[in-house]
Amino acid sequence: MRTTVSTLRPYAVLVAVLLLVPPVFTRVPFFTMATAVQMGILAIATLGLVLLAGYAGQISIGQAAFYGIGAYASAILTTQAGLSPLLGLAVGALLCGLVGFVVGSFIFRVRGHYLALATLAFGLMMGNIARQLEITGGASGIVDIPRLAVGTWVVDGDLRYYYLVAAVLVVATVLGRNLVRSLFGRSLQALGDSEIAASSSGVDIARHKRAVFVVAAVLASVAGSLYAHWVTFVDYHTLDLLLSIQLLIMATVGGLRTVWGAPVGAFLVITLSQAAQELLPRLPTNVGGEFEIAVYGLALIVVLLFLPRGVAGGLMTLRRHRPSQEPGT
Amino acid sequence: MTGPVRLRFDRLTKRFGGVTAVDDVTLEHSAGGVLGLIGPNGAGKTTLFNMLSGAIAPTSGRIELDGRDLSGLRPDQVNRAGIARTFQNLQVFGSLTVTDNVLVARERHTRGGVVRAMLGVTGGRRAEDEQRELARDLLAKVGLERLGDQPAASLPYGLQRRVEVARALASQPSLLLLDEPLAGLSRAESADLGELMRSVAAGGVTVLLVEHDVSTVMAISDRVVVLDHGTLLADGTAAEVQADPRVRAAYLGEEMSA
Repeated sequence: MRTTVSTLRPYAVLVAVLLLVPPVFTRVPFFTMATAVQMGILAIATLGLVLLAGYAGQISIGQAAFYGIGAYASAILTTQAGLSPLLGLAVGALLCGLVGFVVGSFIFRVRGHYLALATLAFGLMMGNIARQLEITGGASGIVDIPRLAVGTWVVDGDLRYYYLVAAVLVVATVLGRNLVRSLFGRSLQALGDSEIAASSSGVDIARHKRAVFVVAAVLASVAGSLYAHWVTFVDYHTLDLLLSIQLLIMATVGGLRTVWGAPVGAFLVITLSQAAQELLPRLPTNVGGEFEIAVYGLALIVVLLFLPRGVAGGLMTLRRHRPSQEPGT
Repeated sequence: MTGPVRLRFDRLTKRFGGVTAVDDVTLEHSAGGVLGLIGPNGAGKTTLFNMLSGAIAPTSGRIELDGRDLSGLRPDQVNRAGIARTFQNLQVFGSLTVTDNVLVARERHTRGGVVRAMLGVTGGRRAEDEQRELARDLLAKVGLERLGDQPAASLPYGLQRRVEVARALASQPSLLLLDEPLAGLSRAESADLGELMRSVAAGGVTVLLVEHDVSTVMAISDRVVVLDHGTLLADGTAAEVQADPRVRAAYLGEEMSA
């Protein structure tokens, strides 16, 4: 990896934007710091999906399962095993990586639509398990999860928590961008374009797919843990199918083939969903939660029609009229 | 032809249900040169080709490359064993640049792994520069040196063919498989590509050419093998094969009179 100005500048922009969020979000009545925390957490999970579905072309409608495993692992390890939240998060991520490795070892025997269905089934299965088991608190879930703490410093308040989430997001983005710019990442993109050609070029596609599946699982897990230690409560709704779909929409709206698609997508979709909730009571009709889903659907259609590379992808195309992509975008 | 045996088919057979696409084919080819494989539609060329590249497994029989049994290997393992291929229906990595298309075939030559890649410690700048240099050389060889930064999908058909050849050569194969590389090319493009094949063969890589365009195969192949109904019909130099009455009856006759 070359560490040049052009490599680092995007991170400077990301950090600057993330630092701008608190002054803006605390002043604009529409937003709160809680909204910002939510966006940050979902952006981390979405980043995994950008790598998995965007670059490697492997659609997963089951990412909420890994988000849930992370959240429950944090909850159980801290409330029942007495681990520190930070350790809970780390063990959860490790566990998710392991589950991702095992699932990723056989789920890629199916491709395309079948893969999407298999991941969907996996997600639904994990949701059911979370609802049934005693250790996960059954249908009532787990309460009183401790807030995240670094040593004795408890990260309390949405503003502090936001900074923590933002820091994790920056680290995750650096790791993700390193990956997509590496030869390994190019091979992932190659197998997304043509599996047979990648395979015939010496790429062990099963190993590559599994690897990126594990990465996406770990990112979802970290996001889930961050969520659990923030709301201090989890139940089976945490890994609802709707979250899996929401993550896919965020990745698509933001841009599937760029790591910046994750934060942009999370921001746009959450903003939209907030707007829908604000608007809902003022509507004369008697609609409920379906309204939000309809808004998602509409946003997705608009983006796919006019910005097939997503909003971040579209913005990058606009300013990428420079001579070369070297040494990577 | 002399030299060690590079490629050997030993009683190779492939059946699809009741259809025997390749029927008990035995063939030996020494290292070097261009081996042309022709035959009418349905002769089993593609099946043979797919078995050779690991895309499908033989029903029975063996394939050996430089004395090593390739039966049951996946395409990436076949590639590591020394066989690289191009595709009849182009399979460039459209979203990658031309250079990156070539670099994909170099990934296994670097210190890889997803964790290293994420941490950005893949052997440093020098290792990647070495691969880039190699890619540049290959692109120069196929005449694409100025298009390295272009998205591969943006190239015209004939040039995408060259991307595939460069990518295949990046694996540094001992056997290069070309699946109808001249399909859809103009006469001038065909001549250029034929020349490229000769130069690749001169560099010590054995080229196996599966082609519909009989005249080009005859012109650039050191040896021509004719397949018909899954079996070997004729085998020899272009002149010998062309003179063979069975070949004329099965294939060349209809082409020539057409």
